[in-house]
Amino acid sequence: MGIHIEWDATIDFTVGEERHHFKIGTIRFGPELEKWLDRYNAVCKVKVFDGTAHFSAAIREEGGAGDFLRILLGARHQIRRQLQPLGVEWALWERVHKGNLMSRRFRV
Amino acid sequence: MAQDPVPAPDNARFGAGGIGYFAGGKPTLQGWAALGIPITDDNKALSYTSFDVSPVHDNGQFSVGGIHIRYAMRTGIAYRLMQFGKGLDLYGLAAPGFSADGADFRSSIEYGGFLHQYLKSGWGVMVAFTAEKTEGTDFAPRIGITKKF
Repeated sequence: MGIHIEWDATIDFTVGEERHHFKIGTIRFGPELEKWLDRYNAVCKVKVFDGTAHFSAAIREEGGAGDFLRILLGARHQIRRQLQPLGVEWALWERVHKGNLMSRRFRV
Repeated sequence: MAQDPVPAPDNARFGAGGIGYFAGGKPTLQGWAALGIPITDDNKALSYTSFDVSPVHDNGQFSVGGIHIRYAMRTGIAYRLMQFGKGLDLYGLAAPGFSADGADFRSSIEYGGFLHQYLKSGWGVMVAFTAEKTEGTDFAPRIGITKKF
Protein backbone atom coordinates (compact mmCIF):
# COMPACT_ATOMS: atom_id res chain seq x y z
CA MET A 1 0.00 0.00 0.00
CA GLY A 2 3.01 2.25 0.41
CA ILE A 3 3.13 5.29 2.62
CA HIS A 4 -0.23 6.15 4.08
CA ILE A 5 -1.87 7.57 7.19
CA GLU A 6 -3.96 5.44 9.52
CA TRP A 7 -6.26 7.78 11.40
CA ASP A 8 -6.47 7.06 15.14
CA ALA A 9 -8.96 9.64 16.39
CA THR A 10 -11.07 12.58 15.23
CA ILE A 11 -12.34 15.31 17.53
CA ASP A 12 -14.63 18.14 16.46
CA PHE A 13 -15.08 20.86 19.04
CA THR A 14 -16.42 24.38 19.40
CA VAL A 15 -14.90 27.21 21.43
CA GLY A 16 -17.20 30.20 21.60
CA GLU A 17 -18.39 30.48 18.03
CA GLU A 18 -15.27 28.91 16.50
CA ARG A 19 -15.63 25.38 15.23
CA HIS A 20 -12.47 23.28 15.03
CA HIS A 21 -11.51 19.95 13.58
CA PHE A 22 -8.72 17.81 15.00
CA LYS A 23 -7.53 14.52 13.64
CA ILE A 24 -4.55 12.39 14.65
CA GLY A 25 -3.07 9.50 12.75
CA THR A 26 -0.09 7.21 12.45
CA ILE A 27 2.09 7.32 9.36
CA ARG A 28 2.63 3.86 7.88
CA PHE A 29 5.60 3.53 5.58
CA GLY A 30 5.15 0.10 4.02
CA PRO A 31 6.89 -3.18 4.90
CA GLU A 32 10.51 -2.15 4.41
CA LEU A 33 10.33 1.12 6.25
CA GLU A 34 8.19 -0.33 9.01
CA LYS A 35 11.23 -2.52 9.74
CA TRP A 36 13.25 0.68 10.02
CA LEU A 37 10.68 2.06 12.45
CA ASP A 38 10.92 -1.09 14.54
CA ARG A 39 14.70 -0.84 14.57
CA TYR A 40 14.54 2.69 15.95
CA ASN A 41 11.52 1.97 18.12
CA ALA A 42 9.92 4.94 16.36
CA VAL A 43 6.38 6.17 16.10
CA CYS A 44 5.46 8.77 13.50
CA LYS A 45 2.31 10.76 14.05
CA VAL A 46 0.50 13.39 12.06
CA LYS A 47 -1.93 15.81 13.67
CA VAL A 48 -4.35 17.81 11.57
CA PHE A 49 -5.83 20.93 13.12
CA ASP A 50 -8.13 22.83 10.80
CA GLY A 51 -5.91 23.70 7.80
CA THR A 52 -2.56 22.66 9.23
CA ALA A 53 -0.89 19.27 9.58
CA HIS A 54 1.92 18.81 12.08
CA PHE A 55 4.26 15.84 11.98
CA SER A 56 6.08 14.43 14.94
CA ALA A 57 8.20 11.40 15.56
CA ALA A 58 9.41 9.72 18.69
CA ILE A 59 12.75 8.22 17.87
CA ARG A 60 14.75 6.64 20.62
CA GLU A 61 18.11 6.26 18.99
CA GLU A 62 20.26 9.06 17.74
CA GLY A 63 20.56 9.26 14.00
CA GLY A 64 17.02 8.16 13.31
CA ALA A 65 15.51 11.61 13.05
CA GLY A 66 17.44 12.52 9.90
CA ASP A 67 16.34 9.29 8.24
CA PHE A 68 12.77 10.00 9.19
CA LEU A 69 12.86 13.48 7.68
CA ARG A 70 14.36 12.20 4.45
CA ILE A 71 11.64 9.58 4.20
CA LEU A 72 8.96 12.10 5.07
CA LEU A 73 10.13 14.57 2.45
CA GLY A 74 10.49 11.84 -0.13
CA ALA A 75 6.93 10.78 0.56
CA ARG A 76 5.36 14.21 0.50
CA HIS A 77 3.54 13.55 -2.75
CA GLN A 78 1.71 10.57 -1.22
CA ILE A 79 1.08 12.44 2.00
CA ARG A 80 -0.18 15.48 0.09
CA ARG A 81 -2.72 13.32 -1.74
CA GLN A 82 -4.15 12.18 1.58
CA LEU A 83 -4.15 15.59 3.24
CA GLN A 84 -5.60 17.67 0.42
CA PRO A 85 -9.13 16.22 0.70
CA LEU A 86 -9.11 17.24 4.38
CA GLY A 87 -8.58 20.89 3.47
CA VAL A 88 -5.02 20.97 4.80
CA GLU A 89 -2.95 23.86 3.41
CA TRP A 90 0.31 23.57 5.34
CA ALA A 91 2.36 20.68 6.69
CA LEU A 92 4.76 21.53 9.50
CA TRP A 93 7.51 19.68 11.28
CA GLU A 94 10.44 20.47 13.52
CA ARG A 95 14.06 19.62 13.07
CA VAL A 96 17.12 20.10 15.19
CA HIS A 97 19.84 22.06 13.41
CA LYS A 98 23.06 22.98 15.21
CA GLY A 99 21.38 22.57 18.56
CA ASN A 100 18.35 24.68 17.66
CA LEU A 101 14.84 23.45 17.04
CA MET A 102 13.66 24.88 13.74
CA SER A 103 10.18 24.82 12.24
CA ARG A 104 9.76 23.94 8.58
CA ARG A 105 6.67 23.67 6.45
CA PHE A 106 5.59 22.90 2.94
CA ARG A 107 2.40 23.82 1.18
CA VAL A 108 0.04 20.90 0.70
CA MET B 1 3.59 20.51 -8.26
CA ALA B 2 6.07 19.80 -5.48
CA GLN B 3 7.34 22.65 -3.38
CA ASP B 4 10.45 22.71 -1.27
CA PRO B 5 10.03 23.19 2.46
CA VAL B 6 10.36 26.73 3.77
CA PRO B 7 10.89 28.13 7.26
CA ALA B 8 7.70 28.32 9.27
CA PRO B 9 6.69 31.39 11.29
CA ASP B 10 8.86 31.61 14.38
CA ASN B 11 6.18 31.26 17.03
CA ALA B 12 7.13 30.79 20.66
CA ARG B 13 7.51 27.17 21.62
CA PHE B 14 7.92 26.05 25.19
CA GLY B 15 9.40 23.14 27.01
CA ALA B 16 8.14 22.05 30.41
CA GLY B 17 9.32 19.74 33.13
CA GLY B 18 8.28 18.84 36.63
CA ILE B 19 6.66 16.25 38.79
CA GLY B 20 3.30 14.55 38.62
CA TYR B 21 1.08 12.47 40.87
CA PHE B 22 -0.28 9.39 39.15
CA ALA B 23 -3.08 7.85 41.16
CA GLY B 24 -2.74 4.45 39.51
CA GLY B 25 1.00 4.49 38.90
CA LYS B 26 3.91 2.75 40.54
CA PRO B 27 5.54 4.87 41.84
CA THR B 28 2.78 7.43 42.27
CA LEU B 29 5.21 10.35 41.91
CA GLN B 30 6.85 10.47 38.50
CA GLY B 31 8.91 12.86 36.44
CA TRP B 32 7.25 14.61 33.59
CA ALA B 33 8.25 16.69 30.56
CA ALA B 34 6.36 18.28 27.69
CA LEU B 35 6.89 20.22 24.51
CA GLY B 36 4.38 22.74 23.15
CA ILE B 37 4.70 23.98 19.58
CA PRO B 38 2.22 26.51 18.16
CA ILE B 39 0.69 25.29 14.92
CA THR B 40 -1.56 28.25 14.23
CA ASP B 41 -0.42 31.80 13.60
CA ASP B 42 -2.54 33.12 16.47
CA ASN B 43 -0.77 30.72 18.88
CA LYS B 44 -4.09 29.33 20.09
CA ALA B 45 -3.45 25.72 19.09
CA LEU B 46 -0.36 23.86 20.23
CA SER B 47 1.04 20.57 19.12
CA TYR B 48 1.54 19.06 22.57
CA THR B 49 3.76 16.10 23.41
CA SER B 50 4.29 14.82 26.92
CA PHE B 51 6.57 12.24 28.48
CA ASP B 52 6.10 10.60 31.87
CA VAL B 53 9.22 8.95 33.19
CA SER B 54 9.65 6.73 36.22
CA PRO B 55 12.29 4.33 37.58
CA VAL B 56 11.27 0.67 37.83
CA HIS B 57 12.96 -2.30 39.49
CA ASP B 58 13.54 -4.18 36.28
CA ASN B 59 12.32 -4.67 32.75
CA GLY B 60 12.47 -0.98 31.91
CA GLN B 61 12.36 0.37 28.41
CA PHE B 62 15.90 1.64 28.79
CA SER B 63 18.38 2.25 31.57
CA VAL B 64 20.39 5.24 32.73
CA GLY B 65 23.35 4.55 35.01
CA GLY B 66 21.97 1.12 35.80
CA ILE B 67 18.53 2.44 36.73
CA HIS B 68 15.71 0.97 34.66
CA ILE B 69 13.39 3.56 33.20
CA ARG B 70 9.82 3.26 32.04
CA TYR B 71 8.20 5.98 30.01
CA ALA B 72 4.90 6.95 28.53
CA MET B 73 4.61 9.28 25.57
CA ARG B 74 1.54 11.01 24.27
CA THR B 75 1.10 13.55 21.57
CA GLY B 76 -1.95 15.56 20.66
CA ILE B 77 -3.29 19.06 20.77
CA ALA B 78 -3.74 21.78 23.36
CA TYR B 79 -6.10 24.64 22.60
CA ARG B 80 -6.16 27.96 24.46
CA LEU B 81 -9.64 28.32 25.89
CA MET B 82 -9.25 31.48 27.96
CA GLN B 83 -6.78 34.18 28.94
CA PHE B 84 -6.86 35.60 32.46
CA GLY B 85 -5.08 38.89 32.81
CA LYS B 86 -1.43 39.13 31.94
CA GLY B 87 0.20 35.93 30.77
CA LEU B 88 -2.14 33.39 32.39
CA ASP B 89 -3.66 31.02 29.87
CA LEU B 90 -6.05 28.10 30.22
CA TYR B 91 -5.65 25.31 27.70
CA GLY B 92 -7.79 22.28 26.95
CA LEU B 93 -5.84 19.15 26.13
CA ALA B 94 -6.37 15.86 24.32
CA ALA B 95 -3.35 13.67 23.64
CA PRO B 96 -3.58 10.04 22.63
CA GLY B 97 -0.42 7.99 22.81
CA PHE B 98 1.18 4.95 24.32
CA SER B 99 3.07 3.81 27.36
CA ALA B 100 5.95 1.40 27.36
CA ASP B 101 7.36 -0.55 30.26
CA GLY B 102 9.92 -2.64 28.44
CA ALA B 103 7.63 -5.61 28.00
CA ASP B 104 4.81 -4.24 25.92
CA PHE B 105 3.21 -1.13 24.49
CA ARG B 106 -0.24 -0.03 25.57
CA SER B 107 -2.34 2.70 24.11
CA SER B 108 -3.45 5.46 26.43
CA ILE B 109 -4.92 8.93 26.29
CA GLU B 110 -4.31 12.02 28.39
CA TYR B 111 -7.05 14.62 28.54
CA GLY B 112 -8.08 17.60 30.61
CA GLY B 113 -6.42 20.98 30.72
CA PHE B 114 -3.64 23.08 32.12
CA LEU B 115 -2.95 26.59 33.37
CA HIS B 116 0.16 28.28 32.09
CA GLN B 117 1.50 31.45 33.68
CA TYR B 118 4.33 33.22 31.91
CA LEU B 119 6.84 34.93 34.17
CA LYS B 120 9.89 37.04 33.34
CA SER B 121 12.58 36.11 30.84
CA GLY B 122 10.50 33.45 29.14
CA TRP B 123 10.12 31.28 32.21
CA GLY B 124 6.76 30.16 33.44
CA VAL B 125 4.77 27.84 35.67
CA MET B 126 2.37 25.19 34.51
CA VAL B 127 -0.25 23.24 36.45
CA ALA B 128 -2.02 20.45 34.61
CA PHE B 129 -5.27 18.87 35.70
CA THR B 130 -5.46 15.84 33.52
CA ALA B 131 -6.65 12.28 33.58
CA GLU B 132 -5.05 9.31 31.90
CA LYS B 133 -6.94 6.44 30.46
CA THR B 134 -4.97 3.28 29.87
CA GLU B 135 -6.79 0.30 31.41
CA GLY B 136 -8.74 2.44 33.82
CA THR B 137 -8.93 6.20 34.21
CA ASP B 138 -6.59 7.85 36.69
CA PHE B 139 -6.34 11.43 37.84
CA ALA B 140 -2.83 12.64 37.06
CA PRO B 141 -2.14 16.25 38.11
CA ARG B 142 1.24 17.70 37.25
CA ILE B 143 3.17 20.81 38.18
CA GLY B 144 6.28 22.11 36.54
CA ILE B 145 8.26 24.99 35.14
CA THR B 146 8.29 26.07 31.51
CA LYS B 147 10.73 27.90 29.30
CA LYS B 148 10.04 29.58 25.99
CA PHE B 149 12.51 28.99 23.23
